[in-house]
Amino acid sequence: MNWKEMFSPKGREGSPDLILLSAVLILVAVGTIMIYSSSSIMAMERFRDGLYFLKRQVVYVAFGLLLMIRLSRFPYENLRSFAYPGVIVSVILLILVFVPHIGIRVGGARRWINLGFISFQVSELVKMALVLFLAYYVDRKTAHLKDFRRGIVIPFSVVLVLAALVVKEPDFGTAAILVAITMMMLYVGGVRLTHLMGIAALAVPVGVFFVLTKGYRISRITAFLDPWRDPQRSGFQIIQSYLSFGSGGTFGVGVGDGMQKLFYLPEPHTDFILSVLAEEGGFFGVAVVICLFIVLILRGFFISMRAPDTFGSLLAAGLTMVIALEAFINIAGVMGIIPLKGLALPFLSYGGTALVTSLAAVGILLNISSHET
Amino acid sequence: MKREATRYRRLRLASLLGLFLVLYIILITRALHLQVVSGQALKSLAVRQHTKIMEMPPERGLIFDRNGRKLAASVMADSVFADPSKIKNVQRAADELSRILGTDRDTILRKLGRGKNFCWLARLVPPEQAAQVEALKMDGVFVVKEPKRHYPNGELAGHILGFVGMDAVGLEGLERKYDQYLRGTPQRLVWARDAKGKRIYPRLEKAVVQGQGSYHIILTIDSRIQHLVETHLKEAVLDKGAKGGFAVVMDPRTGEILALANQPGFDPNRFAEGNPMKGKNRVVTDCYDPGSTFKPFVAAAALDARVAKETDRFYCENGHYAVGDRVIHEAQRKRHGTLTFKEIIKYSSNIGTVKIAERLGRERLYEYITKFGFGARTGIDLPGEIPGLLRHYRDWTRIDAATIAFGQGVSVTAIQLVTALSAIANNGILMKPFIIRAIVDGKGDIVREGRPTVVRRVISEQTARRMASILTAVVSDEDGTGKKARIENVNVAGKTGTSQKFDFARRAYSSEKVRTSFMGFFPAEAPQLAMLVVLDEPQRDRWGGVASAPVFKKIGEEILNCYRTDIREYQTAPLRETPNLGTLRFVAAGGPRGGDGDEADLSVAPDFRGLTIREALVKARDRDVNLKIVGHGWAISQDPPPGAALGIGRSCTVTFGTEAGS
Repeated sequence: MNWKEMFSPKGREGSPDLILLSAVLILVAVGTIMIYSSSSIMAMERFRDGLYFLKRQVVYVAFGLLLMIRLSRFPYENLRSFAYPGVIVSVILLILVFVPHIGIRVGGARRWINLGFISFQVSELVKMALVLFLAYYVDRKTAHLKDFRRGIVIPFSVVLVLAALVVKEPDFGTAAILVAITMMMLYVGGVRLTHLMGIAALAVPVGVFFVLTKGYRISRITAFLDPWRDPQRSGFQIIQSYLSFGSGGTFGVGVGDGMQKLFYLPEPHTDFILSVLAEEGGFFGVAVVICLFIVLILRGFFISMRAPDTFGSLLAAGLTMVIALEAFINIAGVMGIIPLKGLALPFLSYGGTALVTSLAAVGILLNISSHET
Repeated sequence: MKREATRYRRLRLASLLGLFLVLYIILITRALHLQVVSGQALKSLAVRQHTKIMEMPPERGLIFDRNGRKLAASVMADSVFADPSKIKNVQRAADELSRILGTDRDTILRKLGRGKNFCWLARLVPPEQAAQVEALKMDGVFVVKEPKRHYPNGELAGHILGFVGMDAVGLEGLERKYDQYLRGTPQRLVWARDAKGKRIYPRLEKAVVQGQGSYHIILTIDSRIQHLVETHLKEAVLDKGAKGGFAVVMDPRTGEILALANQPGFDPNRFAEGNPMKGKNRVVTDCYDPGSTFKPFVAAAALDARVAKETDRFYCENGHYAVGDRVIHEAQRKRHGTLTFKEIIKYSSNIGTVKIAERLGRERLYEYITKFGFGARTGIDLPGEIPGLLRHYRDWTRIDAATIAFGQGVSVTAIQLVTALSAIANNGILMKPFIIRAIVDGKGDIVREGRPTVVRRVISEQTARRMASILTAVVSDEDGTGKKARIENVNVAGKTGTSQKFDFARRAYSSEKVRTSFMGFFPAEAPQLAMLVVLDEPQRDRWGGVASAPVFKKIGEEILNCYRTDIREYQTAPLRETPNLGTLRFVAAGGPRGGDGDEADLSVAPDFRGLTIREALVKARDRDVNLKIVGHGWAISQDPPPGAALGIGRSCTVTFGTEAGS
C-alpha cells in the first residue's frame, strides 16, 4: 500500500494533500525533538526521569496520527451530523470543568476534565466543535446570512455562550480565538461586512473590560509594552525569550546545547518551545518552522477553495484558521509582537489534547482535499 | 447562482489568506531582527546570565633569602563563618561560639543579626578552636580552609618582609611592594550556570592567560647575617636602654643588602596585635641628622677636589669658633689646637671639619654631597623610601654651610648613609642598593633579576683609598674615636657619630636625646662588607664610639668567625641553571654551588642525577623529599632541578632511563 492509497477513501477518486501532510509531519517531528531537548533536564529534576515528557508526547503523537489517518478516510460530509451535538457536548463539558473532582485545577485555571481513564483540555475540543457548527450552520443558512438575525445574532449567541464559559475557566486567549474564528468564518460565508464591523466595534470595549478586571492581564500588557521596566518580574518571561532568540543568532547553538531552557525560560516545553528552538536552531530553525506553517496555511486555504461544497470549504477554512491563529498568537507572543497569551504552539508544544485535536483537524483537511473538484 | 457564490467565497478566502501571509511575514521579519540584526546584543546579555566567573588565586609566592631559606610561606588555616538564616537557635549559637572563639557574645549576635546569609565569625583561628566549632555540628556554622601567611622565622627580617592582611593582600614591606608578583595572576574559571545558580560544567575561558601562577622572591638578605645583626642590635638596645635602633649590612661592591634590621622587633605573624608603626622600616622611611658620620664625605670631597691633603694643618680655635652669630663647639666640649686633616677626622673635630668645608666652598660641598647620593632616593626596592632633606646651597645661611659639614642641618636616611660609605669602600663608585636578588616563576625561571648597578663615580679611586686609610686610623689608632670597633687581625675603617635630635619644643638641638651611630667597612684594603649601626636615644654611653662601635665589632667578628677569615667563602644556592638565561652570576656572591653537600639547604632539591632508583630513594628519604619516579634505570633528569626550591609539597619528579650516556 502506498501513501496515496493509505489516505484515499475506498472507491473514491482524488488523493489527499501530501504537501500538507509532509509539512505537518515535519512540524510534529521537530516538536518532539524540541520537547525532549527542552524538558529533559527539568524532567530529571522533577520526576527523576529525563524522558518523562518525551515518552508521553510519543504516545500522544501515535494516538494523534492514528486519529488523523482514520479521519482522513472518514467522509467529511458525515460530520454534519456531529455539528449540533458537538456544541451541546461542548457546553456540558465546559460546565463539568467547574464540577469538583471532574474538573482539574492547574495553575489557577480549570481547563481540564478528568474522566478517570483520560484527562483532556476541554477548550481544544470546543474550538473544533465551534468550527464544525459554524460550517454546518453557514452551509444551511447561506441564503439568509445577509439577514442580521440569522447572520449575526444566532451564531454569535452560540459562540458567546461558549466563550463566556471559556473565559470563566479562565482562558481569555481561547475565548478570543473563538470569537475571531466565528467572525472570519461568517465573513467567508458571506455575512455583511458592515454587520461584522459592528460586532467587532462591540468586541473592543468587552475585551478592554476583561483586561482591566484581571491584574495579571494588565501586567502582561505592560510587560509587552516595556519588558525592561521590570526585568525580574513582569518582564522576565519575555526578556528570557528575547535572550533565547538572540543567543541563537543565525544558525543556533546546536540542538541540545541551549542554555535558556535551564530554568531561565518558564515552560520551555510548552508555551516557549519556539524560544528553545530559536536558541538551538537559530534564525534558520525559526524560519523553517514559520515557513512550514505558511505551507500549511496555503494548502489549507487551497483545500478550502477547491472543496466540492460550501460545508467542506468552510470546514477546511475554519480548521486551517484555528491552527494559523493559534500558531501566530504563540509565535508573535514569544517574539514580543503581541502580549503573551499562554497559548500552545500547534504540533510543537508538549500537550496531548492540543496535539490530538490539531492532528484530527489535519485528518479532516486531508479528507476534504481528497474530494477536490 | 451557486457558481457565483463559490467565486465570491473564494475571493473572501483569498483576502483572509493574504491577511495571514502578511502576519506570518511579519513573524519572519521579527525573527530576523531579533536573531540576526540585534542578536549580538541579546546574546551578550544571555552569556552574562549564563556564566559565572570564578577567580582561583594561585598559592601566594614564597620569599627566600639568598641561600634558599624560606622567609615567608603560606599555610592553610581555618576560618569560621555562618549563614544566619540557617541557624536555629541564635542565642545558643552565640553562647557556644563566644565561649570557643573568645569573642564577645554581643559582637557575634550583632554579626548574626545582619540578615545576610554570610558572615565571617573568626578568621584564621588555631586548629583547636576550629575543631571545637566543628564538633558543635551546628546548622549554619561552617569552618573553611583559607591560606594564611606564615613567617617561619618569626621576627627575622620582619621589617623587610612586611605582612599580609586578611584576604591575602600584602599590606606592608615587600609583601606590599611586590604583591602583584607574589599574588600572581589568578586562574579564571568560567562556569555555566542555570537559572537557579547551579553550576553546569566548567568551561575554561580561552582568552585569559593561564598558568602564570605566582612568583617567588629571592632576596639578597643572608638570613644568618640578618640573625646576627638582629640579635646584637637587640642586645645593645636593651643594654643601653635605647628607644630603638637600626642596622644595615651591605656588600659595598654590588649594593646588595645582606642584612637590614630594626629595633624594636616586629613579628609579621602577629601584625594585627601590635602598633602598626612598629612595622615601619626606619632604615628607608626615616631620616635624621647624621652628625659626625657625615664628616668623612666632606673630607673625601676636599681630598678629591684637591683643596686639602692629609698633612694640611688646621687651627681648631681651641673649641670655640664663631660663625655668624653662633659659636661652634667641639663635641663634649673638647678643645683642640692645631690638627692635621687626618686628625680632624680621627678626633672628629667639628671646627676642623667646618674649616675644611670652608676651603671647599659651599658650591663644591653641595655638589659632592649630592654625588654621594644625599638628598635623593637611593632607589632601593623597598617601599616607602624618602629622599631625606638637603637644601640647595643657594638657600644655605652661613651657619648652615658650617653645620652641614658636621652633619647638622642635613637629614639623611640610613640607607643613604651606608650606600655613600660603600662608595668610599668601593673605590669611589656609588652602587645602587638592592634587596631583590631575583623574582622567579613557579618553574624556577627568572622573570626579573636584581643586578649590581653602578650609579656614578663620586670620587677618584685614589681619593677613596686615601679616605679608607684615614678612616682605618679612626679605628686602629689608640686615640681614635672608633677604637671600640676594632676587630682582631682585620683592618676596619669606620667613623663614629652622635647626632643630637632636634627638639622641636625648644627649637634647639638636644644634648639629651641623641642618635649614636657607627659606620664602617672591612677589610679596609679590599672592603667586602659595609655596615651602619644606629642606636636611638641610648640612656647610657651616648657617644657613638662607646655605644654603637662595640655592636659593629661583635657583628663583624661573628661574621668573620662564621665564615672564617674570608667572608667570600659563603656561597649561595643557584637560582636555576637555565641554559638560555645562563647561570646567574653575582659579582660578590661567588659562583653557584650545587644543592649537594652535607649541610646543603633542605629547601632546595638535591641532585639525583646519575643515581639508581634505590640510591635516589635513600637520598630522598634523608632529605625529606617526596620522590615521584618515572621510568627505570639511572636518573636522567629531575623537576625541580638540583638546587631549585622544592616548594610546599617537597616533591620532586625524577625521570630514570637506561640509555648509556644520557
